[in-house]
Amino acid sequence: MAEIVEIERYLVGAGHFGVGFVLGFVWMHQLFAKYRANLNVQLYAPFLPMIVGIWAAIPYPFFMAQAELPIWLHLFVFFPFFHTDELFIILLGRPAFVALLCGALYITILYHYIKLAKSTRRYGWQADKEVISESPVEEDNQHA
Amino acid sequence: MPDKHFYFSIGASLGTAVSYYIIIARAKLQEKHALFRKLRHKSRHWVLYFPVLIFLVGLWGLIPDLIHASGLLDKEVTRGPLFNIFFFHSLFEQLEDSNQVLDRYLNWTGSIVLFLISLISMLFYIKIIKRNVRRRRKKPLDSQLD
Repeated sequence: MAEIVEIERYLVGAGHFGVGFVLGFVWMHQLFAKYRANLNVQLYAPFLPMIVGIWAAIPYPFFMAQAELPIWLHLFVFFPFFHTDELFIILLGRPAFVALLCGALYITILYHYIKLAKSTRRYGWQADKEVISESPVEEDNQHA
Repeated sequence: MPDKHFYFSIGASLGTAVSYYIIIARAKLQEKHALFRKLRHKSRHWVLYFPVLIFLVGLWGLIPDLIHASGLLDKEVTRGPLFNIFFFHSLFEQLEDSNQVLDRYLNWTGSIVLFLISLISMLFYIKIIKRNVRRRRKKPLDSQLD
């Protein structure tokens, strides 16, 4: 019991992953907006949330129950700050909530891929036009 | 008790295997079964929605927890042998008391499996999109309309 209380003073590994995942998700959308015409960005930027999430959680197995953390750990998405911040421990301390949050964001990533797959099937990759347009495809289905 | 994501991961693996079979054999399935013809009629892109199947099969493993959480049955009842139909739920629940090391390994396995399934799903879409782009480059829409 004492061990459980000890660990609850710090953010769990899933919480660190959640922080990184959300940050990566924001970066992903920034990349989408900036490089709208780049197919590779549209295809591979959705890996960013997972990569940043894993990067943020890497130190956790080694420093899970330490309050005094070396400063270089800030390289891992400000690990020392999130590890001991009370607000984040309350918000992301429950793995089930992190799973729901990341799951919801992951669904939007899949939705992005589905729209892109529909669009490219009809138009191919047209970098100079609006990438995602599904209404003509849906119309086709009605006539098919 | 293994965490809930472990049960979900068992179902998700099964759902992935079923999805893979459906994707491979969809032409044959559409020919033989009315359900798949109906799906095809509804949307020609129905195969792209395979994560829904993965999610639903995964959800099957969580049913005992949902029953317990909603207060319909006690936890002890949901640990009965009948609940083994939900991906051996009661068997794994009993591991909680008997073997905690195995329990921890199961949780890690569940996380890794879910992570791999999510990556494989994304790679599947990338493959489809690249194939679409390649095909459309060879045969533009304008040439089809002419």
